[in-house]
Amino acid sequence: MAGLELLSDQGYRVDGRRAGELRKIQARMGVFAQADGSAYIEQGNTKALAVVYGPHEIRGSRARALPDRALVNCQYSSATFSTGERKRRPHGDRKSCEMGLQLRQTFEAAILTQLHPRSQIDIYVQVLQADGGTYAACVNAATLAVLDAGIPMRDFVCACSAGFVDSTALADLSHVEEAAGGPQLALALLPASGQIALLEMDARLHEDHLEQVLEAAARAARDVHTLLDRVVRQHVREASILLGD
Amino acid sequence: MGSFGDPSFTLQVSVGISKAHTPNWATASRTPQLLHRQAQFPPVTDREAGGSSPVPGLWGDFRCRRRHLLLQSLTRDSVSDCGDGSSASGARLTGLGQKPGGAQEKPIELPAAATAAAAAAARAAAALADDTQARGGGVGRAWVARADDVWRLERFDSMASVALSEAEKVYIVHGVQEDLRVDGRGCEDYRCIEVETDVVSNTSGSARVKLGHTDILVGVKAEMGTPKLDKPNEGYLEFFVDCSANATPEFEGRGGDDLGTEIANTLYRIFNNKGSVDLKSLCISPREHCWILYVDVLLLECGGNLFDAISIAVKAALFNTRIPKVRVIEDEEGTKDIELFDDPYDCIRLSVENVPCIVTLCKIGCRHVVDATLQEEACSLASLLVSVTSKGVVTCMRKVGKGSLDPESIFEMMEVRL
Repeated sequence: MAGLELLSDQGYRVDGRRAGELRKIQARMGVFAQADGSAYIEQGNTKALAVVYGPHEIRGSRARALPDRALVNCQYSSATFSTGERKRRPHGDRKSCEMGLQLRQTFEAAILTQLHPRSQIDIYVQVLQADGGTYAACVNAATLAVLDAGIPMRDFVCACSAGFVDSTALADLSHVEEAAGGPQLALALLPASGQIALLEMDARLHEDHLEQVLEAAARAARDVHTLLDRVVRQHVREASILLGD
Repeated sequence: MGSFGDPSFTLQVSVGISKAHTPNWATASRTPQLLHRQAQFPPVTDREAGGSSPVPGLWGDFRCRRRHLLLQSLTRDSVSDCGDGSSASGARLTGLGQKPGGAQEKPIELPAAATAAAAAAARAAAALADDTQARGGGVGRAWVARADDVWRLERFDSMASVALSEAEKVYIVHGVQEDLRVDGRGCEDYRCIEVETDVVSNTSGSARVKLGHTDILVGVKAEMGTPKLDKPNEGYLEFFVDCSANATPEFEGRGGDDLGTEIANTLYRIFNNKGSVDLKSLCISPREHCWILYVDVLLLECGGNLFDAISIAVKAALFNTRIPKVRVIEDEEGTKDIELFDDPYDCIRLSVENVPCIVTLCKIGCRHVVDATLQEEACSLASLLVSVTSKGVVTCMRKVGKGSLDPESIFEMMEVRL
């Protein structure tokens, strides 16, 4: 690797983390009053905002309504100033569309859509600052927002990315590690059952190493779950105090 | 004259409510949007309703409380007055415009006031009934005639807006006439403004402004480019407004583009003068290199008065902007090289002293308000947008909205700004 050493001999990464260590996660639920559910998350320097509207009537053409379950509609957009180089369009480009589709798949697996037939659930995520692991941050923020909206889910969806450098699996990649071009894996996990809601890997990786990387990502996703669970409990506690129960 | 600014509008109401029918907002089928709005307000208990001072910032609560009280009194009165006394053909009321809002005067004393001014309550109940009938298809019949005021339930073409019922609009307008708005403010009071700078670390400058429920994030990025041909020794500003779907689902996909372009054009216009920003300081080498400031506005939540909030956010973000200092080095062959200073803290700061802020004045009834909420914007047909610097220089003026304004009222509104 030219120039940059992603993993030092002592086992530290560029930002000083250990291989399996997450970046600092801070999250807040119920940030907006007008939406049905909203959440904000910071994972290191990646900041994302998720807003949920619904379940409500199908907007636009009625033909899209599903007779047996709710339609999950996702839009991913990333602020023009979120990346190092200014983006020209916040959404509508290929990457955003793909990301929206992935989010939709993830949440269709988690939300109990059959409880709301012929209705629609909108999940909008907005990346305010991108520093690697945007998909994971978006999924985690969206989970909190869906929970805030009170939409029934099978389980939390917790996502984390993982990479592979010098025969070591790294969890929660930052932008520098992503840009280095090694293999990358994004995993969305339903932690209670251990089921995988979404799995995606790009670049080349030997089959023998896959299990190791997957294991690292799953462990990191479980750690994320612990943190999100704490956030939710804290939020509920505060809300119940405000309501005077 | 049918101008909406005419104070002496008449509202003719004839009620015919059968005994069986009780207007009830909770059960009547409403548009999903209204339902959705209602669901957000916490349930109001009687204990809460007894409280007095409005909490600034918690306008939702306060409004909810007022509405709840109105509802209470209306349901009670409409049963006793309209139901008993006027089951056959009902009361006929005229000229209510001159006697604004006995029922809406003070939120807390509302039940008492409403019982005393039974006529006013009956009128509002009729409007309410009309609303319920139209949506829910109840038993009774009610008919509201509007003499010369346009009170149609319409939406701004591209604005995020809410649908309000007739009664809600009357309530808001009468409140404005009495200089008491739904959240307890006077006509010339702003909501609490929260400004936060340096929020996004990979921008040159950023700011977040919260004005009531309006939430704006602005990021400024400085990039190097070539100056425009007609201004070779100046840099320039580029504005982009992203109406994200976060604010309202209507903005999904390309839905927010129209509003975004409109706001961006307004921003171009208010900065289109020599004084606002010192563009010469953005020039690196004439005709070759300059700084382009990309001012990207992101709408996170719309709670009315977008223009004012955006202008404040833009000003704060420009104030926060740090542009790295560079110098141009020319060697013997005449090729130029741009060198960045070593110290990252050595940077240019823009002077924002003359950057204008927008003040939007919403005409509601015969008065005008500043910092209108979404609900108030829905009641207003036109508003005047004035951009003004701290020294009182007007850099841009625009009328927005689909209604028309009296020339006199424009000058009247201008006085408020000063």
